[in-house]
Amino acid sequence: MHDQELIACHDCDLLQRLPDLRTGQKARCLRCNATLGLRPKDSLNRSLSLTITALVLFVLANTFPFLSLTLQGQLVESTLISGALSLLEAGNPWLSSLVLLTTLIFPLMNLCALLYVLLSLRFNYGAERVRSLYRLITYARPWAMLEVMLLAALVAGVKLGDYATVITGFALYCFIALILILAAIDNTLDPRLIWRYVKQQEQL
Amino acid sequence: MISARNAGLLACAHCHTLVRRPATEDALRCPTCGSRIHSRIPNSIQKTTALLIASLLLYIPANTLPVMSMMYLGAPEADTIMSGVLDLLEEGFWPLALIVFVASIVVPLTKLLTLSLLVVSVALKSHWRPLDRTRIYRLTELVGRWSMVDIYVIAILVALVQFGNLATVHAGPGSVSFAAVVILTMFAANTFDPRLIWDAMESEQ
Ligand SMILES: [Zn+2]
Ligand SMILES: [Zn+2]
Repeated sequence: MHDQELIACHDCDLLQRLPDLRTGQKARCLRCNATLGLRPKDSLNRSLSLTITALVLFVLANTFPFLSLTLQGQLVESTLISGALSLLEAGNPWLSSLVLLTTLIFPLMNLCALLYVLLSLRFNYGAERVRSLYRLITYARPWAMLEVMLLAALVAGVKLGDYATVITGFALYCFIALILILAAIDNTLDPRLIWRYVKQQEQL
Repeated sequence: MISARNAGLLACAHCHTLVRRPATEDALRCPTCGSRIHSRIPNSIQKTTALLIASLLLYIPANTLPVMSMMYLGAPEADTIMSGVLDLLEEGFWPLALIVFVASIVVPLTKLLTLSLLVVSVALKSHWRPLDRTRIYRLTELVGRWSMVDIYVIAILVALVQFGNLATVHAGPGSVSFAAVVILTMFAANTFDPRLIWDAMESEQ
């Protein structure tokens, strides 16, 4: 039992025992203060409902108009994916794929993979894929940058405000909600819960 | 106070599983999550240095070439990263101008500087303030992504400003270099192993 509580800090490699955490507590490294573990309340159920909410918001944010612009009677509407598509049409394949990967493919892939993982834990079914899917999430996570896109929308709106009329779409509000939900998932999901499950499955 | 390495153990970077250190680390895989594990990221300093040099070279075209050009009523106007920030300031949105200035000018530059300093300090086995250096590293890793804001602004503008002869926006040649700087410095931060900072502290004991 004690062996499981031994942990090496990912930032400074200090070997230490992880204390028994009470709900809502975080464990930090004794030497470098890195966060070593957290114990959110009802982690699995809450993460699962947040993930489903996030997926719904993700779909809504990508279907409805995001920002629209009118200039001398002409209207141009854009959705979240429009940026990547227009860049491709204008002959910028690199920028286009970068935007597509970081704001659509990686975030969507992460959410779908997380949904599978959490459902699998919740209903104890299909455990053999949990390991590779959750590993995929840990690799792809830094490359999903939705929150940066929100700042960009704000900047673009201000830049265009001088020339034309900017209309915020329904998708923008879904997008803002999505960013908040994603931040909530980070605080609700305990990764050790998932790895413990993977370990158990392998020992069976 | 003993590191996992000195205790003959090594930890998986992805799931924190501790493994007894074998004679050779090559092709060692984590028993829990299946990713490759190393006591320290192999050739961390060399990889980080190479990525830093590449980003430094690209930093020049990224900041001198226009990242975006706007045609408004027949008059073309090219924006570099810096002139884009100044535009926001002129329009009176100074809080936003400040955020964009930090994200697109301060962050890439300080990232290049701090990662270079970290690499040098580790190469020299420096004992200088390991806790502060670790904190600086964590901050560098955390804020790097926000520099992508300029690329996304260009994407949104290119999609929205499509009014034929009235107004159009195109991505400029500097934008690809700028995106490359952001990506390469993110990779550089990822390949730097902060545990090396603390190894120098322990080698003395
Ligand atoms: Zn630590
Ligand atoms: Zn692992």
